[in-house]
Amino acid sequence: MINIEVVEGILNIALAQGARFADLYAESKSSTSIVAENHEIEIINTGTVSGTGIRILAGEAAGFASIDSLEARELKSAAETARAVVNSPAIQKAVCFQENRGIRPDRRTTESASINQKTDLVRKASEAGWARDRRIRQVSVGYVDQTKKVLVADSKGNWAEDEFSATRLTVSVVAADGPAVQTGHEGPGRLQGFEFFKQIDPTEVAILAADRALKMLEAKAAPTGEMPVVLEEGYGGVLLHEACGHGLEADLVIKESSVFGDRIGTKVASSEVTAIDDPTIESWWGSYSFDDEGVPARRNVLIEDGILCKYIQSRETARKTGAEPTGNGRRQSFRHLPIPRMSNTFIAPGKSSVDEMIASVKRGLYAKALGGGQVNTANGDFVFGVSEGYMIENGKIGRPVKGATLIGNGLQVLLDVAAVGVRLVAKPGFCGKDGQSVPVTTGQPAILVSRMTVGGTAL
Amino acid sequence: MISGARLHEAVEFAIKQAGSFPNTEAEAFAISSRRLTIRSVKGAIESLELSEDAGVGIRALSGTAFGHSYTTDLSETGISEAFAQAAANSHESDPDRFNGLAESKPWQPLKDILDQELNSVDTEVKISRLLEMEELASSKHQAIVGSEAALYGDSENHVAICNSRGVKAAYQTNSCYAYLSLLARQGQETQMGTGFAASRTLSDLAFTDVATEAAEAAVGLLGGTRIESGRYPVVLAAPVAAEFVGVLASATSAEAIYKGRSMLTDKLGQRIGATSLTIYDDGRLPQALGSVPVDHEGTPTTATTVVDNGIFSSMLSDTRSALRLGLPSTGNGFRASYSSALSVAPTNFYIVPGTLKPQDILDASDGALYIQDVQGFHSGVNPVTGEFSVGAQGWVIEDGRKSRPFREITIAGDILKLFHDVEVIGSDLRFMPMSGNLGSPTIKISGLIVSGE
Repeated sequence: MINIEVVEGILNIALAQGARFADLYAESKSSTSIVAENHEIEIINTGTVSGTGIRILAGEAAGFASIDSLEARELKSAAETARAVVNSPAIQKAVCFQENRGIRPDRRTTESASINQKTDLVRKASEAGWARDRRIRQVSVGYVDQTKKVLVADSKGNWAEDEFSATRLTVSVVAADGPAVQTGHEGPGRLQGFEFFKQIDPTEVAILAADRALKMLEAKAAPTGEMPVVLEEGYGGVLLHEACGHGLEADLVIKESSVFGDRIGTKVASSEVTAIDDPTIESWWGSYSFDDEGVPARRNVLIEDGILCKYIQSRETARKTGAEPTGNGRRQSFRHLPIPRMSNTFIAPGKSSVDEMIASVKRGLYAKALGGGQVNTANGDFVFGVSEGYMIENGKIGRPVKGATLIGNGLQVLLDVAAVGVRLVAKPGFCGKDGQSVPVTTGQPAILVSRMTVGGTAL
Repeated sequence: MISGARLHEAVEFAIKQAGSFPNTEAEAFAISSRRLTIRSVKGAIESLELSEDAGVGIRALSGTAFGHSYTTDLSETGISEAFAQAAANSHESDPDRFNGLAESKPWQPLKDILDQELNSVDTEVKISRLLEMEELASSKHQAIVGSEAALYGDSENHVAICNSRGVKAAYQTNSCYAYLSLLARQGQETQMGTGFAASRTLSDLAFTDVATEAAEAAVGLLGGTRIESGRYPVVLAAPVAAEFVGVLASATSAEAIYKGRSMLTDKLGQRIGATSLTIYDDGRLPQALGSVPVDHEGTPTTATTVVDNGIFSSMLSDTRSALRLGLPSTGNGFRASYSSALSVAPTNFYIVPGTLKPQDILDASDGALYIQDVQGFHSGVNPVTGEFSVGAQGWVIEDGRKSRPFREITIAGDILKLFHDVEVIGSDLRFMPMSGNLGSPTIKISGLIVSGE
């Protein structure tokens, strides 16, 4: 993307006034997005955005400048801007990259397709949704693919380059019956090119979304108060992500705004729970071969049999806490500084089946589909939304209940995990933190939590 | 940063390309931004970020089918390639007889959307204001142990719009903000309180209020417990009320209503709120951060009475949704960036304030819950059905005071029911720049369902 001599020159400018470290992150992202509503292909939008972010570290401060360019002249001026936080004699020697050092993962072969093939697929999903029932009021289909080239190079001589594709199809359905209106959503995505559609059938995605909306038309008000909750395969990861994942991000631990600070080696979850963050899983939505600071991706066991093992680190938080970088320094784009983030985070599979879990509950909630969530890491309180839920009565799935938020506390809820399912299923999503959104997977086996507060409206 | 003049050349060059394609009209929207973000932690600079960005978004209209494209390459080659893509994309998308471009209309520039001084203030001055804010907040109470985030940011934008029907518009705007997320500790318990302010000028930016707001929340929420499930009268702090106003704002889009994905579908002309509730969307409101002379199609912005004493009186529209209605556009066609498609979005969308001061509302609300903060808004609110269920933190009101703190509860209900049940509207209108500049005073709702113990 940018040749070695230029990168060396830029980093040397960045280092010239006393930085202890400098790095350059360049990316070029080409994307196609298609939207269909009302049976029509309404939007086809294509384009490319390229840019570079240059960071320097001096003392405990970071200076950062970004520009939507890959041109040497503009990068030089950005490097000078990034130096604004320091003004002292140079302390680092000049950077020199060796040709054979660095990470350049094998190019994965990805399939491409014409706009026409893509719109065909979107039409197929749209019509499958509409055809499902006369009570369907709207079907919105979104198709997005992108190909991203990245380069990370730093003043320690690390060099990493990669190119990868991501593809996602989302279907949102509105169903209405008299005064009752409900929505259903489904949105699979993988780090693949058009070959994604060898595994994913757009018709099935649309049917899942439509059936979810139709099912919920019969829903009654969700209950209030504490009860056992069974989280369906694939979705329960939102629980781990919010209840505990964010609290394990080392920047929050350093700022003493995590309830999981000072808890390494202690019991934070029931012995059923082993929690893993693993960006190395082939083609998962939150995967990468190296993080956005060029640290190779690795599988990290965060919690083992209920005992907290490690925090999620970027290079900087690792330096501040004397830990090893875990390969979780991520950024939304070249416009952002890297911070510790999750990738594919999940509870490792256990021994129970969903049926057994449901059978063990006298009165509780079965959350078949979940939305996103949020956590207050300082006090540990977290929430996440149920988008398709059913009552469990005497060990059997009962009537559907309307969307409700579940609320709990991170220090308590993982201790209350009573059973973990056998099968790991991935669901793609986006996670927001400090104004940056990155792709993550909240894949997970089904889990049974012995008590959580269900925020419905039926008293 | 890329100048306004350069953007203007780029959009003019872009629409000229339409001449090379049969039966094709075009619109080009370009934006150039410069953003500064300073973060501090424990009295020292944590990071100083400067970013510059510029790009152009093109819509080619072939017959009645749109094709979109964008690029950051503003050279003639970059733009003509992007145009060719937009034209090609238009041939693969479906025609719609309501697809069209904005007609050229005279527009008046707005004077107070650019503060000439802000860009010339030395970064050192901004740094010291931020550090002073953090220090002031930390000194407010012995329980305060530090900040989770202390931020100052400002941005400057140039925008240029041009289309084949003679629309030609440009403007320049800037703004600044301060944010503080403060931590207070008592024994093993930590609580977080946040404060936020935004303004056009640095001298108007209320650093002191941000510090006070964050400190009072962090310390005041210490010792919070759960409360019993039940139906409670509720007082929503102005920033929380503004989030609910934001959901209503997205539901007033003529596009969303037509497509049946709004809770206001089929409700035009009907009562959707208490008689005391009047809501405006005013794209030209003086001193307000959402004000712009034209929208991103180049249509002059206007003031729209969206809710008139409880009656849903007008939708917000862009050119296409307005053509469908046979009405003029309200000037609400916006793009989130040059790479995003156009959609209907609010400008300054706000509840017209009442006369009661927040303290007067507290004095008359014994036993009600004061909601300081909500959690999980993006997942817990369904903008189509209006159902919501979100986490909440705040205080039980006793003797006119925010008395006993509570946490780890949810409040749930229906958004339209909530606006029906507005009992009191305060005088303290406050805007929160989110997607649109959303404004509300403190409001009291007669009842919401709480799930707790």
